[in-house]
Order: sequence, then structure tokens, then C-alpha cells
Amino acid sequence: MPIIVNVDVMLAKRKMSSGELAEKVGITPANLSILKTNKAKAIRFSTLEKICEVLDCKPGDILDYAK
Amino acid sequence: MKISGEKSLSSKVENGLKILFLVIVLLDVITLGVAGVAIFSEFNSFSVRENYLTRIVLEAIISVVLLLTGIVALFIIHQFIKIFKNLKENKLFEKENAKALNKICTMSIVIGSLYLICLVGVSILLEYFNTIDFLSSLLIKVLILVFAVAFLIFGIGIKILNYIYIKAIEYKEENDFTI
Repeated sequence: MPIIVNVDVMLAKRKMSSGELAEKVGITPANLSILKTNKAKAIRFSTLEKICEVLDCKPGDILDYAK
Repeated sequence: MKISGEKSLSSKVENGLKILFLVIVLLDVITLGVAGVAIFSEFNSFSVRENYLTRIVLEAIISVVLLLTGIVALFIIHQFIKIFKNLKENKLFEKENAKALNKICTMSIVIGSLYLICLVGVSILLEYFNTIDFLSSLLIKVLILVFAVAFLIFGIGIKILNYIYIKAIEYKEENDFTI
């Protein structure tokens, strides 16, 4: 899929662990892992909103498009 | 009544199918034996008739075709056993089930085609070796045709069901991988 999820990059920038993000966002570590490994088929606006809120970033910082 | 899980309807159907599987194996063996003995005894009999060898060959082909339908039916039952086993284990939307349905579709069409071959054989046999009356011969032909059409329709029906099942698996995967 050409959509790339850059959550791990943002996590490194914010010096936050995956577990902490999962807990703050309210998703399971397994689901966060699916998101990080680009296996996710879709992301809910509510989840994206929470991730942006926790990581203090914009959706474009997390999601990228590559041909 | 529970549909999936232990001691459920699917568990009972699975057991029923296993018994049916054994019954068909037994019937196949009996058919093979009876057909073999009948053809062999006819071949060894001294009453030489017109086109005698052709008749024996035709009878042998029909017997083999009927036996093959039995063997293919065994594969169909085996696939159904797999599906019901998965249902028993609460594995509802598995790709394995879709594959099994696809195999069932192919095998049903194979059985339908085998019956059509059998119909041709029987028609030739009854046409050239007029051993039974017209009504009985017509009844046999219609019966074989009904079996052939039934299996072909069943195969097509399963193909459509399989398409719906594959779509359901896709939707489930999409739902599972929506974060």
C-alpha cells in the first residue's frame, strides 16, 4: 500500500514508547503494532485525532504517501 | 441450539458427515466388486452376441464413471467435514473455508460432467443393445440427467456462495485491521 505510517518516527522524536502511546490513545499495543508495521487497512478519525493529540502533531506528520 | 462450538449443531453435522464418508467408501467398494464380478462373468459367459465386446467396454466405462463420481463425492464430503470442523472451533471467516468451498464447487461440476458422460454411455448402450422397454430406458436416462443437472446447479450455487464468503472474509479483515 502506498500509504506509509510514520508513527515510530514521531515516537522517536517525542521520545515516547509504543506502550505509552497505546495507553494514552486507548488502543491495544497489538493494534498499534499493526499500525506501525503498515498492516492496517484503515484508521478511524477518532484514533488519528487522539494520536495527533498525544504526539502533538498533524495527520501529515504521521501519514505519508509514496508512489 | 448452538451453531458453533463444542456439542453444537456443526459438531453433530461433522460426525454425521464422517459416518456418511464411511458409508460411501463401503458403497464404492461394493460397487467396484459387484461391477467387476458382473463384467467378468459376462465376459466369460459362452453366449456370444452381436457387438459383444462393445457392450462390455461400454458397461465397464459406465461402471468406472459411476465409481469415479463416488470417489469425487468422498472429496466433497471431506471438504464439508473440514468446514464444519472449523465451525466447531469457532473459525467462521477463514480463508481455509473459502478454499474448501471452491474445491466443492469444482468437484460438483466434475460429478455433473461425469454423469453427463455416463448418460451418453447409457444412451448408446440402451439404443444399440435394447435390453429393456422404452419407458424404463427413458426413466434411467431422465434420472441420470436429473443427477447431472442437480450437481451442476449445486456447483454453480456453491461458486456464488463462495464469492459471498470471500467478500465477507475481506470485510472482516478490513474491520479487524481498522485501528
